[in-house]
Amino acid sequence: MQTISSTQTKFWLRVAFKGFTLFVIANLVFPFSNIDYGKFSLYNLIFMGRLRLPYSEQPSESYNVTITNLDAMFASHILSGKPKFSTEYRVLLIGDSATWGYLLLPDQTLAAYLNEMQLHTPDGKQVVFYNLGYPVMSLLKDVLLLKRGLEYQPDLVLWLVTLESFPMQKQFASPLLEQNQSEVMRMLNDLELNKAMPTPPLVQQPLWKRSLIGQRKALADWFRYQLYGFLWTATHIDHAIPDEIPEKQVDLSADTEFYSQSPPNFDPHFLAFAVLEAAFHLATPTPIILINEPMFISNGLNSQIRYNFYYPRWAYDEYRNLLANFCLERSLTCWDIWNLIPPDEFTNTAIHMTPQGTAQTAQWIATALDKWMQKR
Amino acid sequence: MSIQQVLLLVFLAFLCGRVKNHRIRNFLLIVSSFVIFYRFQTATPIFFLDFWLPTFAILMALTVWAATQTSLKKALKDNLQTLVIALLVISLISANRYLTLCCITATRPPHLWVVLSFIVIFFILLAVFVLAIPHGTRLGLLIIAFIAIFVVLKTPEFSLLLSKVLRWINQQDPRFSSPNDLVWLGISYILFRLLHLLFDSRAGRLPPANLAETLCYIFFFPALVAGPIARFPQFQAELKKSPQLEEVVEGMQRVFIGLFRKFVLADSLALLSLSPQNAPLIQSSIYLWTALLAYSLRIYFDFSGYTDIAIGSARLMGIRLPENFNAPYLKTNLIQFWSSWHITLADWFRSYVFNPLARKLRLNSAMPSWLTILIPQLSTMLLIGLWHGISPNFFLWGAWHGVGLFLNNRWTSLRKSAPSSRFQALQSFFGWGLTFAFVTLGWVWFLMPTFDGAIETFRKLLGFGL
Repeated sequence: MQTISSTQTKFWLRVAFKGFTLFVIANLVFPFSNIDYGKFSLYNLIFMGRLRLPYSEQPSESYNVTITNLDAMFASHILSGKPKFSTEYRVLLIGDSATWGYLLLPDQTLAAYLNEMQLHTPDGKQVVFYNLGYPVMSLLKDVLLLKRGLEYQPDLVLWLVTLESFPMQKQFASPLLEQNQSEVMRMLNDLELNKAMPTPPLVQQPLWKRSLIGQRKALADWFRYQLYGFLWTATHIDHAIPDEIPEKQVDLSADTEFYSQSPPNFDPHFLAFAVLEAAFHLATPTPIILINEPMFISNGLNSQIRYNFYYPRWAYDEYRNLLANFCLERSLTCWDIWNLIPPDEFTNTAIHMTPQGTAQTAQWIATALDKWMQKR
Repeated sequence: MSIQQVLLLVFLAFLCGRVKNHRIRNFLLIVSSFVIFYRFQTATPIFFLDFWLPTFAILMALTVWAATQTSLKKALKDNLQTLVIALLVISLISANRYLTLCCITATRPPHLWVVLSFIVIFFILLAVFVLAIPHGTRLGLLIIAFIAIFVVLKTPEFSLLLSKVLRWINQQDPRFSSPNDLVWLGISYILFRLLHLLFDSRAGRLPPANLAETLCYIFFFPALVAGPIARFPQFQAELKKSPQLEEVVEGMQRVFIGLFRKFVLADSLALLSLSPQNAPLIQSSIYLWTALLAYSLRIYFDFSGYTDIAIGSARLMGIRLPENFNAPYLKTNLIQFWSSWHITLADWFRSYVFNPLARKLRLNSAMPSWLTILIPQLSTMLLIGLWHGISPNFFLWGAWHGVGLFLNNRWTSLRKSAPSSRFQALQSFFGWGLTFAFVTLGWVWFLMPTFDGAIETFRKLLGFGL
């Protein structure tokens, strides 16, 4: 490389100055530009659409990144890449990590097994299931995803729930909700949920946090997520499953408390049934079938007090009663399959199932769904 | 290196470049290099090893300097100031242990008295070594010792054994030993520089050098982690220069190019690249080829990006480091590729392995001429392969290139006349395609840890087994 002249030095200093000025301007303009970069996606364009929403604890091994930009999350999903044909009966699955398929490959999830069965409606439409589960236990998170999902003209929503998603205090405790605060607040207003539940105040982010520098992690994650599309398409891997999966807890403590609740009953405002109710209003006229998902029932130490690590027996029994009443009073279709799956078919927690357990659940749902469709 | 570490490096280089007095600048360079060395050394599970590894490297450098001196007494007298500064830095880094805001090293360093005792014992042994053993013999012994260190560090079985020994010394459970316990920052490059000094000193080619220049050369912080491997005489001459404004601008330009190559291009390509984990999972040969291509580009941008940062940072001090890459992927044959890929490493091996061996073989008139080419070429490339790690995959990668270079050489000799200008462009294009494909396919050996894994990847690249 040859030594450059002073004219060139001045040239490069000018370049540096102009570059810096442009960078500052770009940072200042970005927060006000309302650029929905999340809507731009390489998925469904050059890479295969994702079968489930982006979530990853080990990006480099799962070719997946946890991003919280809802536009980007949905733009990458296979749901966005498929126009709905008249021959399709579209079913969305929403729920927690069990629905998402934690510790399962993409072809071992509940949605995948249901699709494998090639179900048809009585009028001959093919039933296609889409996995909109997400590994956070919060009904409000489910509703947020449901609201987005409804834009894709579903014919039916299967909503898998468990008690752990119900405590009011857990509703906002997720980065997905925190990062989409304004959308969540809008939704709470629209559904009039802000009166029914204690909502955290809307925090307006300072300007610098909304600038390019402030948003660098979100932008970098989005960019990485786009590039991981290549290895996702090439390998069909979106979740790294460890060689050794830690065992679920079988021997339990003698603790009878569930969060701050003690037997025999829940505080009337402890469980977020209001969110459940709002979701049904939101989805109308699309039907929702509520499914109380299978869980591990321990026979270990203190299993007479608790069903598993999550639930004391009284709390879970009370929850099932309340859920049954909720469905009965509103004439909703609810399926309670809490004890469907044998204990051996659960992996690291009380709700994560083995591929066999998931397939068994899918089989049960498929049979019930067939009957339900026949009735309609 | 993280982007923060790179920025720290650039900032320090800029500061060093502002010092006009060369003597003071050299001292500042030594202090900065040592601090960076200790700071960037990652933690290891073996107690205090993140302090001892840089310390050993510094003591190895002092040994080489002392061993290359003809009169140790006079050399010590002339370089006492530098020696004191070097030892003071080590001691102060160790003394960090006693500060509330510990530490420069990744974990708490050992007690100062332990370090000082060790240094005293080291100097006694060094004095005995230098005074008792003749010049040529001690240089030879050091060469053998450093090659042995190389072999131990690059062979997983030996590294594991050493880790067990170190754990036993530290009264740690040897069952948890791993070859990864001995991650020694920049040691390959340090050993190359030390061996270069020893070889050249033995051959009488090494110019007289003071301790400050020697330490600056060995631990020059911009080139500590990823080279390039400068030659001492050139570096010594560069050390005497002061940076001009143009050079600072040029250096910054180069640093920005390096940052872009490393943190934008290479890190993005890493997300698409072939790896031992994803190779068995990729389900189509087109994707496999794309991932391999991404790896090929990534390894180039990653390494050349670091080199740009090193060269650019050095320019901020007015020091011109040798180039390490010269558009290698645009070359039209393998010989040209190896003259433009990791140039300083290839030059090092050319000087100390290929040329001496080729000369020796040529003197043996009974040997066929093709063999006098094949043997040095293959040995050199095998050693370059094994430098990355003593394992079958690197051996095969070296052999792949060794054979490739030999065939390239034979082809060039057999081809009597140059093609007519009509076909020259076509031949160049064909040559480029063949060279790039050869090098890119060669990365499969480099990448896959097992022979079976590499063969399976080749099969899948050709569309079999999918």
